[in-house]
Amino acid sequence: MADDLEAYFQRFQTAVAGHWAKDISTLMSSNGQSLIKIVKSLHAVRLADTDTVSRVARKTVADKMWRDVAVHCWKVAYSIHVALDIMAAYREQNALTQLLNRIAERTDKWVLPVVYTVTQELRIIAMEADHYIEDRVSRPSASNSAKPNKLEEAARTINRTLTVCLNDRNSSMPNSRKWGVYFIISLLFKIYFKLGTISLATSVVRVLNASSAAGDIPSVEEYPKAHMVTFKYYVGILAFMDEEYEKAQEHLHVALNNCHKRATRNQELILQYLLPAHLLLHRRYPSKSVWRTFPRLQIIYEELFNASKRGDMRTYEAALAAREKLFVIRRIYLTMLKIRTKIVRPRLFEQVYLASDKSTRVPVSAFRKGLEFVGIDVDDDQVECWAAVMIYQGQMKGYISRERKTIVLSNNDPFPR
Amino acid sequence: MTLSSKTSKTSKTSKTTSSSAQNSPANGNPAVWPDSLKAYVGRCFASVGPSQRSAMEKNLKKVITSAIESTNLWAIDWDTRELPLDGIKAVDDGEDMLEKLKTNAKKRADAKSDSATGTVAVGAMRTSPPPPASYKATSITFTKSDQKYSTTNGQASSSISKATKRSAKWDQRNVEPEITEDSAKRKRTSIFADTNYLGSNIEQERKEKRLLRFDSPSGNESTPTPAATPDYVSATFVQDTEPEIFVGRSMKLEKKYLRLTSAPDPETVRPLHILRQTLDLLKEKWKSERNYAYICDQFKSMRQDLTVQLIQNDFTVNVYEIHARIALENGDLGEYNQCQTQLRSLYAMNIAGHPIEFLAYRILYLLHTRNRSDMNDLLIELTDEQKADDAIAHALQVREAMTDQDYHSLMRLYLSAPNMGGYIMDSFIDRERHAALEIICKAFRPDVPLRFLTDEIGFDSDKSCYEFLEKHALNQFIDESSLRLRAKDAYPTAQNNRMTAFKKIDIKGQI
Repeated sequence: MADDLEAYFQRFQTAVAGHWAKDISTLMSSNGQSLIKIVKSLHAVRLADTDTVSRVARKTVADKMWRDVAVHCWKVAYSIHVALDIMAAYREQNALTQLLNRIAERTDKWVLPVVYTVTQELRIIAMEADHYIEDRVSRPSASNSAKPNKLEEAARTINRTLTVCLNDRNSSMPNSRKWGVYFIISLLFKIYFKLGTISLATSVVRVLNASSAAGDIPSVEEYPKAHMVTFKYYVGILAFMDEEYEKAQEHLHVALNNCHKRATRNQELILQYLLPAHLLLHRRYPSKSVWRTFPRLQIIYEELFNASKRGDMRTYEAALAAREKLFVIRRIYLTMLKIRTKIVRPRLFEQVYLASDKSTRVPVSAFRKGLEFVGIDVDDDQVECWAAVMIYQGQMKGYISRERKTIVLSNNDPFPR
Repeated sequence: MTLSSKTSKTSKTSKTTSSSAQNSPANGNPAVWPDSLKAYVGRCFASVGPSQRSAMEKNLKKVITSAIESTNLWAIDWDTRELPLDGIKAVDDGEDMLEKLKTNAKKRADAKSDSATGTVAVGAMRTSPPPPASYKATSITFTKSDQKYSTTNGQASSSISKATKRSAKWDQRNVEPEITEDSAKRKRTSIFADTNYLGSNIEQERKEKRLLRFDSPSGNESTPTPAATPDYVSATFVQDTEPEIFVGRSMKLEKKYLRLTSAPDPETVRPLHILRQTLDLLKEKWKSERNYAYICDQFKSMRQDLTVQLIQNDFTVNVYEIHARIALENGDLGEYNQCQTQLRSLYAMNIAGHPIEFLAYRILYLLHTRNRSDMNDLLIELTDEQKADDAIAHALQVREAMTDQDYHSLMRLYLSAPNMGGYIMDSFIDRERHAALEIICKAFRPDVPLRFLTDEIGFDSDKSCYEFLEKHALNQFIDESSLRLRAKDAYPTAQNNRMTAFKKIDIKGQI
């Protein structure tokens, strides 16, 4: 049995010596079948203790740090598949990542696939550990009030990885660790969004912008598409949340255009933000085929979009209220409110204008009654205010006569689209 | 720390308890305890193993608190009194015991809001370290391991985890091992990362540093903490991993605020029961004198005394809430924001106060600073129950009106703001008035009456509205006879005003 372990470490040693990062990753992954098999069979004959493993590792793996890596990997796999101890697994994986950060510092681009595997698994294991803590805390008998902060801690380790990638001053660009920057940043974005610490995501972007402005790293277009798409998706959302819709649209377009054509889930996620941004900026609605391809988006948006097209405030309000939670969590709610004022309300006023035979002079009270008809009960001053905002923002052309309590509309296209 | 740990090793008994004669009996201050009591305490600690110290502390706390409350501290014959060994096994049996201690600690935490004197007395004899105290002990340990770390890389993690474990054992609440472990890691990143500009924990680090300021400078062993004054300190109290609890001895009610640049001096720090009297005094003074500069200064020194003594209870919340309200009333958003920040973490510890009222303020404050990402975060966490609250519902409506540029609704909300929300709205209402004026000047023709403006930009009289317009050079467009504003002519000025008003604002907003 110990022979299997030795053979495993032997392969590990060969892969390290040859800089075969993909092979190392496969061997290291805590979900790797070969590793799981060895861990389980060793456990069956009671040889799974750290001493045995360290001894075998000492015999086979030449480099001290890589040997530690191998032992850590083994411990992670053991904690997950034999000891069923997620907290131990997390500790080992975190230590493993820190160790790999140090190894990465001394080497160049070749090691990146290993870094990707380890950081990715750290994120997943940390989330599991947090779930475990949450479960334990929620149990009534628990005297423990530990916080599920493992993902937060993991983020700090991975943040360190980012620094290691960014600060490669030795290797030439083709061999630089800087090629790992966008992968790691995307991973950090995922974590920060999950944790809801958006400000940290923003500060990462700031650092990155400084680096790329200084010409320290290649432009994102030169990176693998997978890295670029994820990155653009997240910076798109960041701009979206800041109500910088033009920037958001730009980033999200790049993400969508480079997204793998079979990755429909990713396309769907991108469109989730792109569609409302597009509507708000250009009054453009998605075609039927979009709804067909992305039924989930159809459920979220179709009713709202159709209502906005018609100026059907009542339906829009109801549909929005029904989706409030979802929109708030995904940080889209504010944008949907903006669509309400900038698109739905002008359409509603237009209806009144059309109903009064396109008269250019419409009494404020007529608009008030129109609003009343769809269940919005407000006074004339409120109607004037809304009209004033629309005129100010250019959704309605004309002016308000306070004296005559009348809205005087332009002859030519009073409700431009 | 080093000094105290040495003493604790050499003398486990009560050799050092002899002290000068005391005058006032029945006092929470250990300085005036009878010698027999000090000896008693010494015996208590000597009788238990290291893992049971905290259990013993708890028992002792009970005994002494009740003695103080019944004012018979001097009446009890401590020499013959039985040791409080409830729930304490004679022999240290490791893990099992640790569990027990945890439960005990939790019970204690629940019953934490004790009477003032009780808490003081206990604090003075280092029996009940409040949470951040463990920070101090461990941070020192970690400095050492960090040094080791820099020379021999491999060993560091093990020594750190050992240190963490050790301190964790002494931690009384289970949140603490998390905190300490955390701070250790963080510290490490800050030391070894050549750049920590990624900012993930800058805020946290800053806080940590601020906390560390209260530690003795490294290398300087003679910290002016109560441990250095031998008159009442029995060496047995001091254990090598036990945090130092700082308790002041100043009996003066008032104190000028001075930013600390070195370790605080217990002679100038007021203990909790004095601070309570201070608060009453300040409330009186505020009512009668309304001198904000004085009050603000006094509150700051109170907050400082609370911080250096690591006091975090409902009194702390009370102090911060009152200071926050007074600051709001005086338009001092900077001071308000400092209080708000502290209150958030105090509320997070489930200390009683007015979290809903202050949550509503926070929403309004975020509108003032136009902090969209924090606002988004806040909205996500808002529960339906919170949304149903009047003040919060109001704040959310304000937010919606501002997003919509709906000045009509906004001004109505301004005039009907609950609690002290109006004071926060004061800070951004002028900005919104300019926005409203621009819209009105753009949309209305040919003119609008002053009366209408008064209503729509939220003034309570035409006069104050006119003064506002005058201040911002818009009165020149008002027809003096009809009191109407010529909208078209006024538009460029209004536009200018709005642009100036919406330039980046100073977030601190300090006055």
